[in-house]
Amino acid sequence: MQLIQLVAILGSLCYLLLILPLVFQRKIHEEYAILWLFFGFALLLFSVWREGLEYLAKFLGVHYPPSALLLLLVGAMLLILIQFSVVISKLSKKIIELTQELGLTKFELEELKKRLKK
Amino acid sequence: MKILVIVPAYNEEEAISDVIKDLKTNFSEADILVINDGSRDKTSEVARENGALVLDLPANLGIGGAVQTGLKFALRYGYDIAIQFDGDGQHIASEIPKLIDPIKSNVADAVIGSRFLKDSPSDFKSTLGRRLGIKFFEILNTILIRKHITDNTSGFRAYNREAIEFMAYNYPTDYPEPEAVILLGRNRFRLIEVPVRMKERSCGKSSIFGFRVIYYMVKVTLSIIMTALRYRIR
Repeated sequence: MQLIQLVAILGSLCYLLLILPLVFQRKIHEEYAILWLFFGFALLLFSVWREGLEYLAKFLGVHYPPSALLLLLVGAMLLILIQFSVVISKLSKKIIELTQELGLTKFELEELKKRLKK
Repeated sequence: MKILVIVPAYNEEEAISDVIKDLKTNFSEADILVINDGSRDKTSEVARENGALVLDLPANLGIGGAVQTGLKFALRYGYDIAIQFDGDGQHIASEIPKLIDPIKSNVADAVIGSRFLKDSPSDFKSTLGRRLGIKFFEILNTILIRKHITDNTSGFRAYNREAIEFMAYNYPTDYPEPEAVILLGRNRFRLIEVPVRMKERSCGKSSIFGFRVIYYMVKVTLSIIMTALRYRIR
């Protein structure tokens, strides 16, 4: 086993050991954990399974197989970041709607209070 | 006919009382709703003292979110016409009838008050740089909705009931004016412009300056193109 393979395996394991407890403790919701876990296991798989990595590298036209792992990692990050943008956009839309609803409700409450006092 | 004037205001304690007084004297048939967009000054108190209805938003949403709140209010309480009227003193209450006449005679669903139409009496037409930006939107929007709108950034607008119902749920949030034009045009609302007079703001300065000008142009252009490409929703 080459040193680089050992580093890759340890790296993937660390990554999974970081993510899995967070999912377990519900600090990352399952719907957002799917991408993280999928790529974690994919990285581990190709770190352990040397022939698979070589096949993947050949398929992608990468000369040095461990670089294919990096490519996989960059792809994973890109996808996860895109997912974040989608989630953030959805959240800010909801916050705007909530703020508007709260404003309208506060207005109605004030009007009701005024009427009750009379 | 129930008419609502929506006045979005963010930190406008100095301008807001004159705006409300102008509306009360020169356009008394409408209810005035000030949307206090999370101001940190006394905008809300001053508006209340002057006898306007005041809706306080707990956080600053920006002009789009504030106007949309007013449209939701108009929808909820059955107003037939909603008018968007800036809280900084640029708009003139006695010009409102020009804006709502086409709606009353049912020739338009949405009306924009324009400084740039040929017969526009407005002596205040913004600075050269801003006029260039406005010209750019004029060309872009004309191509995209095949309708010639000269003052896409004007925040002096009137909507009928149908447009209120639509915009209450589809109003754009960030720098919304040029995008709203496309949205209305694309969704087959009858959109027209009328020439109006506007003033230079009495105090404060535009929220769009420095690098924000670049951000504004890029963001609004992107939104406009995306809105034009999306499916019609009405």
